[in-house]
Amino acid sequence: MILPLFVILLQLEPAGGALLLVLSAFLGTLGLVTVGTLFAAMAVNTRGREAILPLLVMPVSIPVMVAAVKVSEAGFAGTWTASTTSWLLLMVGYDALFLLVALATFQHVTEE
Amino acid sequence: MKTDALQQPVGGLRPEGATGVERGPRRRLWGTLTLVSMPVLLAMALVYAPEDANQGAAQRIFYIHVPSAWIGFLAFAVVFVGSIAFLATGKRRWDDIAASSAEIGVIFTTAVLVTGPLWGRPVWGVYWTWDPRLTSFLMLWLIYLSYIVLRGYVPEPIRRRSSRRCSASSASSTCRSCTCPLVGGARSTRPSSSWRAATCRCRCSSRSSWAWPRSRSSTCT
Repeated sequence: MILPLFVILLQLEPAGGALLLVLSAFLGTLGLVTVGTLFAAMAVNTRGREAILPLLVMPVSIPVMVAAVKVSEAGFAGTWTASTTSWLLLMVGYDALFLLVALATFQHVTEE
Repeated sequence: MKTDALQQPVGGLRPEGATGVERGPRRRLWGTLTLVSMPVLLAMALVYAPEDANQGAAQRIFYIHVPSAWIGFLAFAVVFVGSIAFLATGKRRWDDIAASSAEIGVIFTTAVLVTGPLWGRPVWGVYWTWDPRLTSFLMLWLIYLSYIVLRGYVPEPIRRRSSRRCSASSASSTCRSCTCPLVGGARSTRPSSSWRAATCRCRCSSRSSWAWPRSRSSTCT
């Protein structure tokens, strides 16, 4: 949603790297949403939930954010190198890991 | 109020049964061993070991720095195992083990983060650099700090009624810690060896921190 807006307003030209941009947007969003949902469910039953949620999410979401930045950087540059592939793999692994962890622990988080 | 919230997770020793075992001669034995081995360690590190050819006296901080990192990794591994065991069995003792181990780990990783810059200043020329290994270590420290804070913030009645909630956080935040070394490896400049480097980072951290400063000091100074 925001991404096309940025491309138009800042006159960016994703030269041949459109696939990378879409991939990084999808995988990055998936990772952030997974981690955010899990920790939001944890933080909702604590005192000072607004304060503690960013504290919990921030260190954990740094890997996927850095990877998304790196991959979209490569997307705008239009160069797909070996390190881009390893960043993509990192995002895939992160998403898979946290989807599994979230599925396995979510019932413990939400049960009374 | 605040101390109440903090005391509960600290209580690794359960009143029933456990105190009788821990308070006896066994505990005194560990204390005596520590008292004897600490001066021996200091003497070996400061007097017996020869001075490093390249780094001089600054290298001696490794005898504190690297073992602290090992103990930190070990403690976090115990948190991971304890949290999963708690989720599987529901026994409160596992949760206590995980919580107390997290505190041990944070203490020792703090020691690593304090001694590291002290060594980095004379050898690299800077106290801190946003290098993958340092950054991921800082993240590791932050994650377990937030884990301890989270446990302090869970209200007392909820924790009594269903202590599962706080440990659910423990299990997931422990899995997160597994991503930390993974990131450190993947962010290194050699993408092909990154995966292998990530998996064996814990084991060979001492050796790589030997190789690392040599290449680093040539670029920095």
